[in-house]
Amino acid sequence: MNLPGLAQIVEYGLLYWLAALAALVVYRCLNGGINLAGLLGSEPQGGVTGERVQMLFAFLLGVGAYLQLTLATMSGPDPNPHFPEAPKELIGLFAGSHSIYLAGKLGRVAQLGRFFFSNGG
Amino acid sequence: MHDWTLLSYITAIVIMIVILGTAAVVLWLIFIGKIDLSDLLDEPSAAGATAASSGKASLSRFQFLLFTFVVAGLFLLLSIESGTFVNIPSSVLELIGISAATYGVSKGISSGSNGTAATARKAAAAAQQAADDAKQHADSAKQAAASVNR
Repeated sequence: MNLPGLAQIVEYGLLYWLAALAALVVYRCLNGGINLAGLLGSEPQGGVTGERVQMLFAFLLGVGAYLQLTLATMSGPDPNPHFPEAPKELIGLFAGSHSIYLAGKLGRVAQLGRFFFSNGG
Repeated sequence: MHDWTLLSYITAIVIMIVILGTAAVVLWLIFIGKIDLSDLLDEPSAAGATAASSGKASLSRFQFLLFTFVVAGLFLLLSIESGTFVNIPSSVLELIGISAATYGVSKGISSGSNGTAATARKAAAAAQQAADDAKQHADSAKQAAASVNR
């Protein structure tokens, strides 16, 4: 076996390792081994907040679109597939939804601080 | 020349065993529970990474983890397909940057808010203590007044 062959074994090995790790994380998330309580709320047992839902939705949409774009590039005529450039719209969607999420979180914290200090804290 | 080829071949095999062996050991330790993943997505309960978890999952951690898996997986897949390391375009680096920055800023905000909450809890405990003391004083004053009236 030559050196490129060995390199390919490492690449395949790491790809399978990553897939196994992802599967393990998903399995632990599903059976409760990794805590997901309060993922969409501001408290562990609290209700759902809008900025978190929109961010999760926009994030999954963006990742799905980019995955689809990459897989289309791989199945195209190019013999050397590469990472496609992410469209400007996708970057805008990511930046916008993440900013809304952070603004919502910051607003909530500011509200908590105002409540505390206005009550003699 | 032949010796150098043999040496590079042996070195490559050793490096391969170290990388894949470490990866396999880490995966095995996670699988049997020696590496605990239960707090993987949790927000810390108070300022500082050493504090116990709050019991609440963090969306910013979740998206950062998911995006890291996606980019790493695609990088390996494309590297195998093309037979060489592929370049990561600047627009994808921007997406990774947005994802990582959101995680960092969110962690900063959480630490600040947990600090405020901890201060509020301390203030509430001190107020409760003062109220208990006042109640004790009032009770003893009532008793004293009753004995004077008798």
